[in-house]
Amino acid sequence: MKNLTSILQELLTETESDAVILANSDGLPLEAINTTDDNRVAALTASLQSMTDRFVENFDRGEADQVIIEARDSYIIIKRVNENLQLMLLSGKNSKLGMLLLYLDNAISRINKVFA
Amino acid sequence: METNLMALTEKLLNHIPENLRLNEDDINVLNRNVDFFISKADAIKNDFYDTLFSNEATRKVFHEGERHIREKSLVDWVVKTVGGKFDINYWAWQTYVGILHIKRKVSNDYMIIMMHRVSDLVISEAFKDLSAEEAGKLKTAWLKVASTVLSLISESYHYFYLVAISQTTGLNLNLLDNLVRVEVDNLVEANQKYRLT
Repeated sequence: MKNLTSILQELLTETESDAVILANSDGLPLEAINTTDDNRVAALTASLQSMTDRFVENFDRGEADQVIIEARDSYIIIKRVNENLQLMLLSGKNSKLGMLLLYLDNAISRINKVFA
Repeated sequence: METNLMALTEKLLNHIPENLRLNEDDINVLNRNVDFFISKADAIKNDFYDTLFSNEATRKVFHEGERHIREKSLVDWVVKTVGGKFDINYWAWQTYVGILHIKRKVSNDYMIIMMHRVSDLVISEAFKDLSAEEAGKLKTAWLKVASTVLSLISESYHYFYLVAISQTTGLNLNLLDNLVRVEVDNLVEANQKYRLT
């Protein structure tokens, strides 16, 4: 979908990130940029979101809105777009986390308008 | 994917081709030979558990001192099976056994081998004790029951294993299916050397 592609491309450019993917809850990719194996990354993105939800649910603390992984030289952020979608962004460690989250929220708002 | 045991049972039964399903004639043959099965119950249970307890790997499945309980269960299963109506509740019971097998770590390889052993005994005894015509009919009916039970237990084992993972982790069954899909090609590739050419 052209709209989704441009939203993800802008997110990637604005945040100077390395890769981004929009996946559904069954782990299927809807749109992806710079992920080497879309199917695998989408399935893992959905898995991390689902497992985090179940983990949080275990403590009776509602749903997990986001998962932030701090790798040695990267941030990997997974944010819930809506009940059925999640967005994963891979960015360098030199990125400002607050800015990444801000741009992600903006992208999520635009994605939801596409599906409204 | 369905998580209801009764619905899964119906779905699996519908997978069986029409001509391989147990029909009224088969049920009649089994029902009229209940006495034959009762007369063979001791032989079946002794052979079954002697085999399992003589093998280290299969012996480990059992708890200390439970052999007589398991023997009674096997005899009850045989008698209820051959004397029964084979309605959906009976088949659902077999599907339920698949879940019990997960709990007891009775893997499908053991189960299939032992079902074959029971079938072998039933058929050979039938040809000794019954007329050739009746034994032939009993063989057909029994093998249909055995293969249906095998299919229900083995699929139930596999299916509820996934359901347990799904419910623990929160990964839905479609997602689990997709996780398998992204890796299965690698598994096929990694094991190409075992392919007969």
